[in-house]
Amino acid sequence: MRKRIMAVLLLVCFCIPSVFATDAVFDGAWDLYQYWEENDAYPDYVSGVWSTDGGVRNLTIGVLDTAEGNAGKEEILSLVRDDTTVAFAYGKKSYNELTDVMDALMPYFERDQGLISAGVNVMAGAINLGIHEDRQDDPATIAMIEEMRQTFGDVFVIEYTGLVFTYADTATVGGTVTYTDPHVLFAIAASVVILAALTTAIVLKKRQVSVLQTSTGETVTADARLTKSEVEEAVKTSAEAPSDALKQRIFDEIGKD
Amino acid sequence: MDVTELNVCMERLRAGDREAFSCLYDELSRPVYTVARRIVQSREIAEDITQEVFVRLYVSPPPPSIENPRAWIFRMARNLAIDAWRKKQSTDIDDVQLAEADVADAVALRLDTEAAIGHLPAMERQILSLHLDGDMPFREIAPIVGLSLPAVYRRYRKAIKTLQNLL
Repeated sequence: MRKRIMAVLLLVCFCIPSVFATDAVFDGAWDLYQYWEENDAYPDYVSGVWSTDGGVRNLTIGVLDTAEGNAGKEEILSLVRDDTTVAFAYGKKSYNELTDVMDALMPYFERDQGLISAGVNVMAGAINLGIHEDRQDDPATIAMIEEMRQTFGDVFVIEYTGLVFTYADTATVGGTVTYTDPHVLFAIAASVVILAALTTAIVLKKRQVSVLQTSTGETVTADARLTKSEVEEAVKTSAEAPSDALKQRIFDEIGKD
Repeated sequence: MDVTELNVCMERLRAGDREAFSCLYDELSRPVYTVARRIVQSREIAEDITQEVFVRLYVSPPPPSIENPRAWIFRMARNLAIDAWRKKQSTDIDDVQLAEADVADAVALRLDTEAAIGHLPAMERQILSLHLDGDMPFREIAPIVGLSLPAVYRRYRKAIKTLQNLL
């Protein structure tokens, strides 16, 4: 009987945490990472997540080297039951900020000026841009890169490559996209391949919406939505002050006392 | 106004300094009013709430033991707004929203943004506004709205996604 109870308890221990993962403390770094990914819920102070030792149990979480980032480290440790699975590093750019830039790159892909890939490089706090090697000296391409840097800041790492996209289903928006060039992982050390591959897949998934090309080279576009930053800015700028009369009303009221 | 300046103002307010109160009003009335307005979706009620918050602040300022008076003020504003919003639910909401739209149509973007925010559930409006208008970190918002930190993140991201679709 005791053995049966133990077996049930063990089952509960292994199965239940995932049920509560969204509202309770997370078991380890991997659960927290999955939660952030699945819910698109990265805090703004996080610069990225990668494997500490090549596995998925121990993860390094990059945080911004700011007061918010440092407070965030405490926050993360309070969310994770087994804090030995978490290591920290400092990053330069918020992951959310980088993905916002990624979301805004669609028009540059549409120009057909040599931009063929883009992906967040969380360890470098940058966006890796793949430029077709044949366009390396093309003045239009050089001008485009300069314009991107002026628009988004110095967040890009340029790689000239013969990278080619292939699409398993070119007729359907959202079709499976496959990279055919291993250079996509060029900035990622072998020890972090498992997690990096996952991150890359997510990047590609996002790109499916905004950067789809047919096998004939035409681009299928989708409506560009406002980025997260743009939405936040719209909310902030729509804030209003109360009427001028309110202050007088309040001072009249406290003046009665 | 940073935390130190705010604490200095609070200290002066506790000593009955009306100028300090005026400073606090100038600094915080806009975000307090906006948070209230986002929650109750009414300018008139939001002004009443803002008045209530500042009168209470003057009469009973937070004691020195309150480490974060800013969070204390927004918690009060949020609680008053939630109470008012619940009462407002029993009134004719369509009339209230029409009246607001008349005032708001001067600025198209603002109307669009406000209309879009009005489509969010009350909890998401609170979290969104406390974070963006009240400039509060999520870890301070969680205890105010009574949710866990992950749940606050989730609601916030959901709100942003909804607004991305609406704006």
